[in-house]
Amino acid sequence: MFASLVQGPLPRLALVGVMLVALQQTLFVDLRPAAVTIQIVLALAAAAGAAAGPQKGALAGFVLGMMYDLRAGTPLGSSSLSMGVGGFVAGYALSITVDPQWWLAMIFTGIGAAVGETMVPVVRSFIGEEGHFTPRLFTVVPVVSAAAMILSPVFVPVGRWCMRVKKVDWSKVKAP
Amino acid sequence: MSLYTPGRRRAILLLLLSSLLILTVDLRGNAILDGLRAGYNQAMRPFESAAEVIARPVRNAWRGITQYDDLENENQLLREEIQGQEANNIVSMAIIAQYYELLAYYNLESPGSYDRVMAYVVGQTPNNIDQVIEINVGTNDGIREGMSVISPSGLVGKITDADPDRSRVMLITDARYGVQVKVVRPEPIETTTTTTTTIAGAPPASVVDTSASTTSTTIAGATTLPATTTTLPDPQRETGQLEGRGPSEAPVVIFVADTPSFGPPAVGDIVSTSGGRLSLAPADIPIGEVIEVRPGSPAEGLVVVVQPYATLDDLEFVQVILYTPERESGANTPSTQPD
Repeated sequence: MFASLVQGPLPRLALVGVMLVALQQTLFVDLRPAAVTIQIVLALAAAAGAAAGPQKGALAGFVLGMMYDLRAGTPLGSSSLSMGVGGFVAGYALSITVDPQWWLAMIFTGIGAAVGETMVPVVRSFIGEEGHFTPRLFTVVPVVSAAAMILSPVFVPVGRWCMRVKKVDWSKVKAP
Repeated sequence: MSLYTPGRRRAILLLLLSSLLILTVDLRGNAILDGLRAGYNQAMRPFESAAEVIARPVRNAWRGITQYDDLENENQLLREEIQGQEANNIVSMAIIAQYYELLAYYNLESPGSYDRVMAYVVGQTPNNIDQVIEINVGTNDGIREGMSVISPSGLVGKITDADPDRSRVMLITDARYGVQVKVVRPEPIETTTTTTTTIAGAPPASVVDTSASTTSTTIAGATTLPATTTTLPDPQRETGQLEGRGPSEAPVVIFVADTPSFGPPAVGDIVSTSGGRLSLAPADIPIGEVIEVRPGSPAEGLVVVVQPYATLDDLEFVQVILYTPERESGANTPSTQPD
């Protein structure tokens, strides 16, 4: 069990997650295009989904969301839920093609990030918080999604590495 | 490629249920999770310090690109504003001094009666929903949950989470924030200015005539200063509940009754904390000015939109008032008594 834990994606996710949460907490609270905080941790969860499929995307979202909640002081589990859904949705890229091209992964990362960000007020409403559904959401979601798309060429390979998924080398695949 | 094998479905369902379980346990309050959070925050410090080294030049470049023009305009406006306020400041200081004399005379409390702790803002929430900042003082400095946080301009928020050396402050614009307030109509202060000659270096003289509600104040200085005769206002007031509305909207006061003696609240009225046994904040902390009054739902009554005095998106230094509301402190923790 211990070996599978160490050899699984968790150590890599935790390593990258710590760095991203630190950057999220320092750099990205100030870099706010259109007064919106870019969500790089969510972007990685979505990118991991686009690179490794819905199940691993959901797992990445769960782990990264937990790390995010622990540091940000948000209700523990709320970001796990929203990022998990984001990673899961982004994983649909692999239902279209086995090895998505970079631009397809970019689109699905953007969609996953948009869904994940939209889920934040939904989850908060479920736990009894009010007033989060404001027109500002129409600015926040596109900006977060666009930022995730821009980051995806970097984050998709990182997500693939975290989830221990190897890119298919088609030159080595033999025709049946 | 099959996306929905039973095994995968089970794994995803397990993650979903785990999130919900942790969420429920955390919301009910759990010492293990609180300890985990505190430990994780402590462990993250070195990483954040390293990230800060990278962040600083990038942040400065970003601010230089996006805020240079705004900064220049703001600088110019502030210079003009300071010139205009210098005279008002002298008069205000005299009135504040008289106000505290009156409070002391009648043995009343004021926000100035409580000890304060100066704090530096070290971070803010990284998401787009919450309005929370982090300050560099914690339980080691006497900070407790529920204490009010102010800036020189007015109320900023309240402590929601305190670690030994860090605390989180929920701003008054957060959708979860609420505090009892009063809406006060400031009556115009009748001020007549006469020129008198005073001796340089002499202490300021202040005479309060409570029977006539009229004061005469002479402020000493190196040059001749105006003497003011001020009639103390007797403002009428109405109480309500201030609630945040999120980052892009001004907070509102609800449950304001349209009472005949006060009349409906109007634009320009001043909103400050009402204090009291159950309030989160001591009385008379200024919050802001009414900028709009509109009818709400029958349950809400009038909705009063408030422009906060404090600039909440650019806070650097704040003060924590060491006043624990009884509601949050519990029966075993006594409230800080005024001096």
